[in-house]
Amino acid sequence: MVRFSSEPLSWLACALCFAGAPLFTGIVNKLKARLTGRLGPTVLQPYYELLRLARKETVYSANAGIISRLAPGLIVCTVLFTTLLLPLGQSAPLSFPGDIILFAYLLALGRFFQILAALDVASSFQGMGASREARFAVFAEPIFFFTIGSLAIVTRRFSFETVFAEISWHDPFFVVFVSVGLLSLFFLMTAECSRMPVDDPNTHLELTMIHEVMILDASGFDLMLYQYAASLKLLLYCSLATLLLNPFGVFGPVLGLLIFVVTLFLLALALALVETLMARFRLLLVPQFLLFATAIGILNILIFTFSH
Amino acid sequence: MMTLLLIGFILHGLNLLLPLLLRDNHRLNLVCNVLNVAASGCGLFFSLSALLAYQRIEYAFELPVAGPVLIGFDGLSLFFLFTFQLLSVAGSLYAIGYLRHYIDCGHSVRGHLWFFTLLILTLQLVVIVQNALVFLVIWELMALAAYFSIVFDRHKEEVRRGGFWYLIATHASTFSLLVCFLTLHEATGSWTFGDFARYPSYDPKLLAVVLLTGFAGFGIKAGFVPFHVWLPNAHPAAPAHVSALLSAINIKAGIYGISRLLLIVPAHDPAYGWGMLIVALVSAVLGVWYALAQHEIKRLLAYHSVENIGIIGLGLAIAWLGRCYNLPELIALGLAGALLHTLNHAIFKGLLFFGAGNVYLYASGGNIETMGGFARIIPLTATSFLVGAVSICGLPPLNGFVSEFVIYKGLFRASDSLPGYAPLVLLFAAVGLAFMGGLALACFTKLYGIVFLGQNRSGVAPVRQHEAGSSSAVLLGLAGLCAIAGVVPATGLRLITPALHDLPGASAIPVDWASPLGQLQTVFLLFVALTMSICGVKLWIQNKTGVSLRETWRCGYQAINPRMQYTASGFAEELVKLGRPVLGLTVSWQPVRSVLPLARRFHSHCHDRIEDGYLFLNRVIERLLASFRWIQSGNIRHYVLYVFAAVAFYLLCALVW
Amino acid sequence: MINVLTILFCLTLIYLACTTRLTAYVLILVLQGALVAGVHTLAFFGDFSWSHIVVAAAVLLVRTVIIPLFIIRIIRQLDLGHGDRTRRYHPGFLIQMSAIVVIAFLIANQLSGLASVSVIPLGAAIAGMAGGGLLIVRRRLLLAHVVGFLIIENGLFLLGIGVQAQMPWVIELAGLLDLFVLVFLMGIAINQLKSHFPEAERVELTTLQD
Repeated sequence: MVRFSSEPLSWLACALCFAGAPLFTGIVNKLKARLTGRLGPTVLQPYYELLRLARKETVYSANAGIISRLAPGLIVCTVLFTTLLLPLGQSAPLSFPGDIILFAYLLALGRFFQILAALDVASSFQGMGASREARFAVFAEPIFFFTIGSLAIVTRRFSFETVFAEISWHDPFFVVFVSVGLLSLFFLMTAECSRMPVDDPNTHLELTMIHEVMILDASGFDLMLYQYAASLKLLLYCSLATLLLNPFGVFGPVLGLLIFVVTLFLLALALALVETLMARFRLLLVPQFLLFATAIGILNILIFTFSH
Repeated sequence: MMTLLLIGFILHGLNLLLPLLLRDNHRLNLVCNVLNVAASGCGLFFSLSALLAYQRIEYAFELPVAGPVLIGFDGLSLFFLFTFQLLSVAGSLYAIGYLRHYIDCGHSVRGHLWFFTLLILTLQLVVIVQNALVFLVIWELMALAAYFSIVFDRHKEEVRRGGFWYLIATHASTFSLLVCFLTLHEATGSWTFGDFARYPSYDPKLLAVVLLTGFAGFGIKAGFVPFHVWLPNAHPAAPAHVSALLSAINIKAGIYGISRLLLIVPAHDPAYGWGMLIVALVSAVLGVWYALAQHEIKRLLAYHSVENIGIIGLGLAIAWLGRCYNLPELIALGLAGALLHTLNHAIFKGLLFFGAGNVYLYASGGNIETMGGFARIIPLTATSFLVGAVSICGLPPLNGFVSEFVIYKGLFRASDSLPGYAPLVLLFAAVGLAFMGGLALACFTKLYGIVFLGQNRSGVAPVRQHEAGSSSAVLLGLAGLCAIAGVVPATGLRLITPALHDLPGASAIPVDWASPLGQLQTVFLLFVALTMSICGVKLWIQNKTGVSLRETWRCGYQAINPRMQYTASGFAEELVKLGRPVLGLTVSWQPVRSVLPLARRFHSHCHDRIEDGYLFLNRVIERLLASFRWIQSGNIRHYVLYVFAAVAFYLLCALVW
Repeated sequence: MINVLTILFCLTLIYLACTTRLTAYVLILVLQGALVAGVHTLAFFGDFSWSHIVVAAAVLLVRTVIIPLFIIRIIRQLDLGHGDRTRRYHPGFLIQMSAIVVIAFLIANQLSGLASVSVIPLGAAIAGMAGGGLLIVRRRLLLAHVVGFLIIENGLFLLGIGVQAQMPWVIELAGLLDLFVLVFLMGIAINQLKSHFPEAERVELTTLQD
């Protein structure tokens, strides 16, 4: 059944995610700054940026049509809805058997309109970013299905809520499974959220990035929506990776929440370390990078199948 | 209720007489197609009401050779009848506006409309006939009608070539089906599908022959790999309304055949199911990969049909596996997924082909690389094409997602219940579906972005052109159906439940086998509402902060021209190169040598390796047969010698035996 | 715990398929040596007999320390550069290696039905042997061939542990002898070649044509 959760904790956690997404990005930026010996902006800086953008005038290209007007709202909506599917707390605000598929395809809908909005502008820069985004999405989708899909097959459950509830720390194979899955999801997160080593979120040069160049022509409230969607997507993927450990199920609500927050912070630290220590990969190498994540996902499911 | 269907068929029959009576092309076009719409519409009402208030009906009459001929309306037949009639209505309505352009150029549509009507009529008949011999006759009529409808523009070489590919493929299919049905007739002694299904004991070797030839025959028609080579040749050759019907309903006749075969033959060996799963998966992935490499709209859409046929095949394979292992929920999910995807694909593929037809009318040729900015020139087409593109990629909240969701559910449910290595194989199948979904997204963003968005690459001015009323009505109607079937999945479910009731073991299907699907509409409606409210808030805030239009910033470069935008080949380049072993990618270019170069040419083309394989086989056979050419020497005395030798041979045989 | 180490062994194989850098090859050899020594120790944890301790120490010493040092020396002496710089990063090798791992596990599953051995170490061993073979077939650099042969030896050792051979030190001794002969010969061959073709910066098999 399609169920809206009656537990207030899950709705509260969801609202916290909506409100706290820019804070997570701020934490990552602050950690990056500290690791490179700078003081860095305050962790609330993304909020100030979003507020600043909301007050600015929106400039559209003369070539842009209805897609450029429609895309920002649609993309934010997809990411918001996808966050509703995650079981933060004992249950997810919205869950039904098969919501795994809806998760992947809602984000694909956002990507579809992002690419179209980039091609709408009639410039080769955005075309380049659109082409790269489409290309890497092809490799990123199998990683998600190998990780979460194999978890679904192994636990014989088909909804996020019930899949994560089955993860226990007693079985050593599950521990290995979850660790390798965490690594896969981390690689997936760098690809989907346009982080190093796939994409550089700092520069706006067309040669180095994918996501940044697609929104190069956006301004004002539209740009605010795009930035917010990107930061919420980052928090979404990091939460998904954290939920693999099933903190709420194993440790109960309060201790689980503490572990959840600590793991999120550790993920932010790992991301900051990767962004500081590594340069961006050559774009030709990114498919191999993503295939590596797929290969370890395949290894994961093989191990689990043949150990039981 | 039956009277409606009879009225429909009588109107179709009248329509066959019209081209012989009316001379004026414009009036003929209008009257003939309006009659087609009315006839198919009556039939549509009949099948819709029969599906909603389901009762199995059968009529029988006798024919000399074929024995008792049953016209049966069971759930499966009614469903396919509904789909075919829906698209016939759309196709005929679209043809009114589309053929007008051809008539203005001086073509005569009398012959074409006769064959078009015959095609629609035979398509409807082929799904309700339950007698194998009559089925084959009508199948052949349908094939010929389709061939003549395709070669409308017969003065062009590539149209004739495309039609010829279609003719060869469909006759190979008929031959295979003849073998299949003859084998069944040998075993059971009758021609009726019902008798085939009720026959108690089949020899497994016989069943192997039946299944393999049946799959081959219907698979050629449906377009599974490696039989798909006629599709990308025939679809661009045909005029838009015929390609739409070809892709939307003609290949579904093959799917109808396979489903009927699955219900007739007892399910004894899961190996056929696994084989079909692999063929379907390979079709899906190869189809969309080839589609990504194309630079002509109709060819791209044709390869995409191959992909969707693969997805439907996946559902049918799951249904077969469910029958083998006696799992009713699996049968329900598999067949439901396949049938839902049939209907959904018919709707959005028809929509895309009609949109492509409109684009062809205002563009010079079909090469995407010369297009761009059509969203300003034909905005209604652009909006409906967008809805079609979002549906075909399987994105929520439209109908493509609903059918793919059922198939995923079937795959996961199968991995729960099937023994052995099944979960691993099914996980790879699910990942293959996801991979193919990613490729489809790349393909359709490329198509929509290059054709409709941006600036026109050949300098056509962004002035709004007139779109024919009938074609706009069709496009918007089909787009609306996509949206309704997506946001309210229960409509699709109601249409397929009668087909599931007729399955053997239908009473064991759990009532809530599709439980989340019916309730997904709350989620989708919320999604649509939230999107609209966010856009509304955005508009309000932008009103306050101000909106202005400027030229696109291109880093201060002064000599901008529209050809600097990304090209379709560039967009898809890396993904196509990844599949280079299978896709025959040929690139030819003149290298840039001097500092101030003149114009240079670059040409990249992807040709179908499987088609090359068929042509190679053809050449081998021709060379083999050419070695016997000496027999036809042209000398009449040799021929007389042959006649005497043959007579002597027969006399000898008669003496010896 | 043995299973965890063998899973890490498979992960090193997959990493091998992604990289062409020589330092990465050395790192993989070091890791595999440590993992294999660890698996050996854990497999015979109860029995602290002399033979097992000697074998474990020998494996650790030879495969983790001596051979990688030797290879690093060869790399520096011959100035081989960073690695086989391919022009395109085609993921073909990775796809083939993944297919090999899948097939190895399937074969191990079938075999474990016949003789009662646990599947995962067996699968990892077969994957190791086949993966080393794939490296030899796919790469043209001579050093890559040496590394591939060493990985085959690692896989073979794991196979020995996997089927719980009673006298593993026989297999290990034979393997070590094999290794010594190989590395010694390669070293001599490379050095002699270097003295005959001083202008050859990188030794590739395709250039060795008389």
